[in-house]
Amino acid sequence: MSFFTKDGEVRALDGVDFSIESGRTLGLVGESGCGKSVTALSILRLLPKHSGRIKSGEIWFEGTNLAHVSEAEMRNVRGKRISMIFQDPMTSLNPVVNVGSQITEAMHLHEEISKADANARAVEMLTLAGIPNPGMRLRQFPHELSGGMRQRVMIAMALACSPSLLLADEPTTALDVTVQAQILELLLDIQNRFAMGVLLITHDLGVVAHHTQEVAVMYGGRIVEHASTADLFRSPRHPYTKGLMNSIPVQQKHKSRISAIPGTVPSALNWPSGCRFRTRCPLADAQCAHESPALLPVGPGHAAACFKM
Amino acid sequence: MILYTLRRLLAVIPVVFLITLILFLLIHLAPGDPITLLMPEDATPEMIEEVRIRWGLDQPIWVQYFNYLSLVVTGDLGMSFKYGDPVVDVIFSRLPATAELAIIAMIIATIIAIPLGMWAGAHPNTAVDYAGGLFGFLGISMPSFWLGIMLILLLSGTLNLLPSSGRDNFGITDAPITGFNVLDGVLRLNGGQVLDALKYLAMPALALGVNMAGMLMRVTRSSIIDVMHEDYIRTARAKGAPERRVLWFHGLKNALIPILTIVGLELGALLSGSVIIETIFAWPGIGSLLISSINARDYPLVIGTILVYTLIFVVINFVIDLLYPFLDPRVRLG
Ligand SMILES: Nc1ncnc2c1ncn2[C@@H]1O[C@H](COP(=O)(O)OP(=O)(O)O)[C@@H](O)[C@H]1O
Ligand SMILES: [Mg+2]
Repeated sequence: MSFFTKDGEVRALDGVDFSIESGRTLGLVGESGCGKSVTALSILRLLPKHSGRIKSGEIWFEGTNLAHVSEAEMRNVRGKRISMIFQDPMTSLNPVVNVGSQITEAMHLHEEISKADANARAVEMLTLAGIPNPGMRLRQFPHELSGGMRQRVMIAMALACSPSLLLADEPTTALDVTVQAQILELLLDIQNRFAMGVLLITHDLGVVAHHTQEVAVMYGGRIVEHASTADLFRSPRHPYTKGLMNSIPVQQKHKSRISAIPGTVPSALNWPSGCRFRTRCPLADAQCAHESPALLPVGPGHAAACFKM
Repeated sequence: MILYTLRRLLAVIPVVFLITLILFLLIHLAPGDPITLLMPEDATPEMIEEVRIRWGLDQPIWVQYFNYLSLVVTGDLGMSFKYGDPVVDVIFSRLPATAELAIIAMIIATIIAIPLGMWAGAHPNTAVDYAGGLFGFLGISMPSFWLGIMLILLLSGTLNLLPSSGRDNFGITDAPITGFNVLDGVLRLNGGQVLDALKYLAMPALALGVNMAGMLMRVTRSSIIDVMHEDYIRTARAKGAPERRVLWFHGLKNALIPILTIVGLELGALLSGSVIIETIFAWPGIGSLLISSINARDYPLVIGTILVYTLIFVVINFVIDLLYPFLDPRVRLG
């Protein structure tokens, strides 16, 4: 997947491959800028129309390749069978439309449903999302709600049509730590109830450890390690994953930002040759500069892309 | 909402006071003693002094202002020299013509500008956008009086399609119902009157409206381009909303907020433009009244008309302020 900008081709994603079973949660972790959001947006084909393009690849969902369906069919998938929760609840809700209309919108788009029934279901969703006084909230506008409440509205909105896959793009990054935990608990509770598949995007390994069964670690638009959560934390194989683990703050009081790996993510306009992590990798040698390591099995259900394991 | 309205209303009062003060000072500072204008050449100083006292012109200026203000507040703007009627009556008989012209011009501008701006903004840097941009550029750069004259030359002169002057009333001599000819025609269920009224309105309203349309189109375009980059637009798409709905519901609802501001500003420009347009098209509104009263040195009428113009301006802004909370729920608290 690439963005075509005036500065050249931004190769944001390259050979990203994973699958999510219903009822399970896959964590997608990586530093900011490594392509997590773009991955989620690609699944829904919501990339900027003019610059973003999926050059090749397949997106299989319930037996259909979403990469090849028409825009009209894609609209039937969005909001109905696959929903997305965005990172910033402050800007992701329409400021001039009331909460009730925003939640019932997907119902009216995808189903024949009366206004009263839709409102009743919206109240149900808000209750499920842990919002007190849901009947009153329907008439409120986003600016009347706190950040945590808005994210709960986003969740209610995403669940409106009981999707089978939920893409949660850093759903708690913009929130207070205490609220973060509540929202994640809520998401997983709802997931269990509806047997949804969830793609939980985060840059926080702590979140991954507690809330996922399976993890894909991303770096530079590629998946560099993929394992069950237990395996990954027991025996991380890729130097990048190890770097991430070392950078988890011992005290989890404040927001944990991954920053302990020296250097910064190189620009997607101009990746280093060979392994994209080599510029920051303590183990890099000549081979890493010449060849791209493939994601190869290193154990049952565990794969990593590195020559130095 | 009531509190908001009251607060807006309170903000208007000092503005109106300031306007009357400025008008009063302008008259006061104008060269020439009003007494000498009123008195015969051979009046004795005693006679002049007596008149000065009778008219209260011997009193301090702030007392004079207060006297003037108390008359204005009761709706007394004096007598017109030219018509011999109260200034207020003369102005009110002309007001509907100006209001009708301005409203039709505004409707024309909005109907052209908003769809065109939305269309251009939804497809930036395409042929549609460039065509819209060209229209906006021409609309803004063509002065309305020039456009008015061109329309007269083409549609009245060469093609002989539309009347070039006046505001005929389809031969109906009954007392007007609202004074708005189009509306009166509708209320009387008289299609002929409606058509006739529109025929007379067409050119002056177009000349006035195109200018506003140019500006409004540009603002609509840039406003919708900004809005379409917002996160909540992506949220709407992620729900499966078709692009039509994303643009015309989620997009327009947000884009209308800056558009309303420009409508308010442009209505002011449209009012001042109407003074010239009314003169060109011999439109019997308060714009042509202002020009003719200036030519006739009918000072009470000149001052009265200017005062009414400024009041209209204030009222428009007040109404615009009242409309904001309907478009933007965030305003209600503020
Ligand atoms: N609209 C865009 N145009 C060009 N490049 C983009 C665009 N959106 C994202 N990118 C690039 O794609 C890469 C991945 O971004 P993103 O998926 O947002 O990262 P994150 O992992 O933080 O969610 C970044 O290098 C970013 O600069
Ligand atoms: Mg992101």
